Formats: sequence, structure tokens, C-alpha cells
Amino acid sequence: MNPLNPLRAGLDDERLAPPCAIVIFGASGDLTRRKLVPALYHLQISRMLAPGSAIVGFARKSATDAEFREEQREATMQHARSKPVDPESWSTFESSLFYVQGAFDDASGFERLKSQLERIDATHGTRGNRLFYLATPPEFFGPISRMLASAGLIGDPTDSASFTRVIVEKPFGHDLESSRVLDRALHEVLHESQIYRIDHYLGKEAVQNLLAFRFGNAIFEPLWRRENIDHVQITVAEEIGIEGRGKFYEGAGATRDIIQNHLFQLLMLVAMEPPSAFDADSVRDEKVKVLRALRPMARERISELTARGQYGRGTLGGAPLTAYREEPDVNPDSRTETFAAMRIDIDNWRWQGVPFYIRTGKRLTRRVSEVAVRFKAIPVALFGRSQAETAPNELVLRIQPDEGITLRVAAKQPGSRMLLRDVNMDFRYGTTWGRTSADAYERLILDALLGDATLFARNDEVDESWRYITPILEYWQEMPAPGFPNYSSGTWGPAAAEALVERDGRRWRRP
Amino acid sequence: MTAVSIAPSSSEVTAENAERALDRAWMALGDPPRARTLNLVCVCQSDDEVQFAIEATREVIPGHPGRVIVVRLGSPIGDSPVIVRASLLDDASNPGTFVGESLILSVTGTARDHVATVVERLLAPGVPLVLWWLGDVPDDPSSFVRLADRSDVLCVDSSQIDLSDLVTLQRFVAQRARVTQSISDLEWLRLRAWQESLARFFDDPASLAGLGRCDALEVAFNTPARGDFASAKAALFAGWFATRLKLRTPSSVRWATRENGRALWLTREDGQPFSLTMTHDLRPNLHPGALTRVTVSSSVGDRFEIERELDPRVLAWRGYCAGAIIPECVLRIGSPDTPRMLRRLLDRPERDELFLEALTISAPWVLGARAL
Repeated sequence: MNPLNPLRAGLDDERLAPPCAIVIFGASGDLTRRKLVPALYHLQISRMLAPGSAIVGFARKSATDAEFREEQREATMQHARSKPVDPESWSTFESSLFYVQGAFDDASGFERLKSQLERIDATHGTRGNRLFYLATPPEFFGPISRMLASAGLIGDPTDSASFTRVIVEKPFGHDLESSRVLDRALHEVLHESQIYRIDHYLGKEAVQNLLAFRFGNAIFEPLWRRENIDHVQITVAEEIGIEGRGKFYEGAGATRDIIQNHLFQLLMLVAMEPPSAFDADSVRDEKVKVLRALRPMARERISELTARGQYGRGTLGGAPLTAYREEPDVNPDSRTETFAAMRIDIDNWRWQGVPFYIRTGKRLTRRVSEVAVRFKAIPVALFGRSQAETAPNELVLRIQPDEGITLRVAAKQPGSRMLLRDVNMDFRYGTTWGRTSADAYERLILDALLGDATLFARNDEVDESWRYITPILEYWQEMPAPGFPNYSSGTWGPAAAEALVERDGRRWRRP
Repeated sequence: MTAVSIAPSSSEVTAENAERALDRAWMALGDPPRARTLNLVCVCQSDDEVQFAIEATREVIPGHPGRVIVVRLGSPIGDSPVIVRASLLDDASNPGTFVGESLILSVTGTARDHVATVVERLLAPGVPLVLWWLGDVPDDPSSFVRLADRSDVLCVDSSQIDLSDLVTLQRFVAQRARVTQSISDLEWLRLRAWQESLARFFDDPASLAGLGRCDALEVAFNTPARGDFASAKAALFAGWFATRLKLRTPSSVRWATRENGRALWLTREDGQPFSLTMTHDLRPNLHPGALTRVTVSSSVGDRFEIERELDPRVLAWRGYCAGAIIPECVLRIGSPDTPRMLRRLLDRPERDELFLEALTISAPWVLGARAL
């Protein structure tokens, strides 16, 4: 939006993207079909994309514009958030879809891309604005960005007339060294302000509500510290297995796939100090301070402070489930973890002595992502035995499914005696707002178009998270876990995870 | 959501007994907690409006529990007592959970003169009053003024009112409205898509420079039945544009007749003349008064135009401006229904300054047209 535009005054409550050519590398891939194009379609029909915005798919596969449009139409029909897809709305949208064939290391493909973008600038008024979405494996981030630079497609970051931004998908490396190599490759041609490292978890309403909850309410912040909080549990549990992604998962595992990014993002939002402003640098400055305050895990304590697991056969809802090692493209002797849990300590004034227990796993009892903050028990049980039966207060922030917030408090049961029971105070997104939230990709793509990097990871965040995780991964590599598979599909994970918290006299929630 | 009658034999009571009837209904349910966040008073002039108000409010009340009072202003002739149909409302998505109270009443004859008093006696105490005035304001606006005066949130729908009602509304705003009072127009919310679409031209710096050269605005609208020079919607849209560009209305408003409408000379901030034209269009598939085209142009060839296509949900967006690239494209606009807009209004009641400014500048245009 142009702040000098007099017709904009007073209409500024909507977030509208400037005209831009959006180029998707990896356009024939699953992410493009399932998430990116449906998200762009919804942005378009919500009129959040400027008229004249164009989307260019780039991939090795040979296809015409018409074929690409048809392929994306079918995918959007299947994956759009609101169905059915209106044929006329689609027809309007697809007129701005284009396709360029090329390999990621082939200069001629990038020359064709350049010509296409110049045509779009001339006919659509996109004014040289470019958003490149690298929906590719990370090994292509470097080659693609170098090719873009060679073709003259990366603009000056200080240019106020037009912008070039690059979104990169996770995983951003597989350890500290590889992430630094990737980072150097991107920084050869891009300024940090042009790089948007996407973690779709940050685009979820409930995750953003963590910030609203903490910093938009006066009553919780004074309680949000070691004096009042006993411990915090963060869970990202999945019912599903690896869903045919054996090749990818064998090289990743639960820690790289979920903990280093999604779980650490949740950890940072829960533990960060209030930022001085709600802008990209202020928020990310505070987030990275949390990672810098994580107490490094001493090598000799890693086995005590972590637990890992791999699912075996089991049942869920009566249906038999196969073991991880029986999945396609998985080594029958695989030592890859499909479950990981750890106790994390934060050495700062706010959190000293408050353990954060985090866990993630596949083929667990149910799909749930949540942050549970357990408050300390009351010092004196004034109301006798019935009070002793109540649990300490607990605040649960549910990310998915059934996004919402529950606060558990003790209350008097009706009657003549002073009997206390736990009751829940519930807030549910679905009930309260009565409308569906935008998909995380819609929010994040719009943010990138608007140049708002608040919900994207900065290079120092990525670096710090790998710095913490890599020694654990290296230790696990050297000391393969005995007894894999060590939990049955459809359960809450291995016994080692239970032991991890029970050693501290605590228990995992059963969400 | 469904309304639940108290009991067939006692669902109709006199106004004096309405509160007691609601109490009895709550007691019959075991006296559950009564969530009351507002009084939503809907004033209607026809049975159709009553039905519409009932259906719309039943969709919004689960999110804003409270008391709904639907008033049907009947014939001014004759006299009959005010009879109130009282019931409780339960949430369709959570049957058995009662979220509101409904009082439906018809006011005729001399009682119409006292409708504000009747309504005031029926209000739940201690919660804000939202007044939704459906349809025209009566020739004697005293009831409207008294209820509007008493309201915390005033909501009208300019798609349903006479052009001359803009003047009544503007006078109320100028003379009586409190600065803390929220005042909104449902139709104004529907105009937002047109305003956004027009504003989008000028995010581009070259087009913004072109706007500075523009000296004409034409607003075409589907001709209303009674053949007014403009629809309320067209007048408000032009009013919004004029306030944004700081166009001034001459002290004596003189509309000139054009082939398909009327034209008025305004003055730009730099003192140059600016032409405002209201053009009649005939589009049988649209509501009377709906916008069909908006064109901003200059005498040197700049032109920015939005036109509703045959499909009323589609706007063609096109233009020409030296130095700017304006791709011709179509924009699909939603058509938010009334309950959705009412919900939005209750979620975020606001004193919509853009609307009030548009109202202020357009009211003299209406008065000027009357003089023709």
C-alpha cells in the first residue's frame, strides 16, 4: 500500500500485498500442489493480492502454461481450504499462472524465467517486485540463488522502488555445519533482509495467539516466571507414520524434522521476554536470546536428559499398523528416531530451575500439539483432603486440533461441605470466532509479500538451534539406541520418555 | 438457532408483563445463568423486515448473548394495545443452551408516537443498546431520534432507505450524536470492496500522480424505482471520494441535468473545478441503487474505471495513465450477507468516521437536488 494514496486513509485495516511476480521453484512438487497454489488462490479471492499479481511455476518437468494450470486446478479443487472451488474464481486466478521449464543449475532456464518476468512486469505492472519461493530440497538453495543472481534477477536490498525476497523451506540444513554452509550460499547473493525462512507453525493462528496471550493480557505476565511455574511441557504428537516419506525421514528423524524448528519455535515464544515492539527484529531479538540461554547438554548427561524411540507394530482404533522398519525406503535395521523427548533448562532470571520438557513422535495415540504450563502447587492445603486431590493449576495452549486455551482451576463443589474439584475454563477458537482461520501458508506468503519477517526465522535463530541440537545428534549417532523399535504404534512413546520426567517427580500429560 | 416459546398459552403478553414472562421462562428451565451482553433493538416497517430481522439476529446472538427486541411499526391509524411475543433463544449449534431472549412487538396507531418509551421499558438493564433501524425513517423522525439518542450503537442500512433519509441521519449525527456513540451503515460495509478496488489504482506512484490530474468522477448506479438523482449508496460513495480528495461543495448546490443523470461542479483543493456526475443505469439483475460503474478521469486522458460485469460479483478493473502499467483484470467481490455484517459490527462497534464524513458532505447534495 502506498501511504501517500489519499483513498487509502481509513481503509488500512486490511493487509494488501503490492503487485508482485511470485516464482515457485519446485512447481511440480507436492508442496506446491497441496499448499502453495491453494494458499495463493485464497489470497487472490480474498483480494489480498494486488490486481496484476502473477505466479510463475519453475521446474524441470516439461509443461505448457495450460498444462500447469490444469494440474494446479485439479490440486486446488482437492486441497483448497474452502470448497467447492468456484470455477469462475479459478478462471480469474489461473489467467495469472505461468510456467517456465528449467533445471535448477541450467542458465538457459533462468534466462527464460527472466524474459517471462520482464513480460509480466510490462503487462501486469509488477514493477520488478519478485518473491522467489524455493519449495525444493535444501541442496538446491545455493545453486538456485546463484543462478538468480547470474541472471540479474536479484535486486538491490536497499532499492525502495522494487523488492526481491526469497522464501526458503525447512529443513534448513541437517546440522550446524550444513546449515552454516547453506546460510553462506544464500548470503553470497542475498542480504539477510531478503531471506524468509519459513516455518509454517508460525503461521498458525494458535501459535500467534501465544504472543497475544502473553503480551496482550496484564494478568498472566506477572505469573510467567520461575516463582510461579513448576515446569512446562511442549508436545507435538502425530498419529500418522511417515506417509511414504521414508527416504527423507531416514536422513532426518524426529529431532531434525520437528524439534529443531517447530518445537523450538514454540519454546521461544513461551519463554521469550516481552519485545519492545511487535516488529520483526524486536521479536526475533528476544526469541534468539532464549536459545542463547539454553543450558548446553553435557555429553555425559545426554542419555539422562533425552529419550528417543522408534515405532514398532501396533494398533490404533483397532487397525493394525506396521513398524517403521517395514515402511517403504526405510532400512530394515534403521536407527532413525521417530520419537524424541528432552528436558531443556534455560539459564536466565525468568526460567532458572524451571524445566521445559519437549516431546514429539510419530504413530502416537493421537494428533495433538500443545503447550502446557504447570503452575506450582499451593503452599498450604487450606481445605483439607479434597484440596489435596486437586491438581496444581495448569494452563494449556492447544495449537492443534481444536485450537484454544484451557485453564484448570480448583473450585468448590456445590453443597454444604467444602469440597474442591478441578474445573476447566475453556476458550475455543472455533466456537468463539465461528469462522475458519486462514491457512498458515496464506498468512506467511502474505507477510513475505508485505516485507514483514516477524514470523520467519532469522539466521541467528537457526544457527543457535542447530548449535544446541547438533551435539545431541552426534552423541546419538555415536551411541545408537539399543532395542529399536522401542514403542508400539498407537502408544505415547517409549518407556524412556516416561523415565525422563519421572526422574524429576513429574509425569507427562495425556492430552 | 431456534426460538423456544415459553408456553403456547402465555407467549403473548402485554408490554408490562413481558419481563415477568421472560423470568417465568428462565425459571421453567431451572434458572440457568443468563448471559446478557446487549440489547439489540430492530425497528422494522414491514412483515418482511420483521422476518428478516428475526433470522439475522438469531444468527448473531449466540456470539453476543442478550435481549433481542423486534419492533414492527404498523399503521398509524387505529389503536390497539401493544402485544409482545416473548420467548427464549437457544443456540442451534449447542441445543439446550439458551443464549438470549426475544421480544417481538407490533406498535400501531397513537402508540407509534410513544414507541421509544415502549422499547425503553423493555430493555434489559445494565447492558448497551444496539439499535438496528431497518428501512426508511418515518416522515416524523422523532421516534428514530429518541431511540437513536438512547443507543450506544446505531446501525442503519442505506441500501434500504430513502435518499432523503441521508439528510435525517446527517442531522442526527450533527446535532445529537455523542462522540462515544458508534454509528455504522451496513451498506457502507458492502461498499468497502468498491473503495478498496478504486484505492488500489493509486498505490502505484505513477497512477497516484495521475489522480492529481483528475477532474471528474462519474458514479453509475442501477436506477432506483422512484427515480432519485442518486441512490444513497452512490451518494455515499461519491461523498467518500470527495472527502478523501478534499473536494469542496459550492455553497449553493446546483445539479445540472445530463442525458442519463445529473452533474455537479465541485472544487479541488487547488481551486480547479471537479465534475461529479451521477448516471442512471438499468441493470434488472441488481438491487435498486446498486453501483454499476465508477470512473475517475482527467481531461488529459487519465482514466481509472471499475465496472460491474454481467455477473454482479465481478468487477472489471481497468485504466490508462501515462507512465503507469495498469493490467486489465477482473476482481471478484464477495457479497457479505447481513448477519455477517451485523456480527462484524457487534464484534467491533466503531464510530465510522469515513462514513460520517461521507454522510456530511453528501447530505447537502441531496438537499440541493430537492430544490430542482
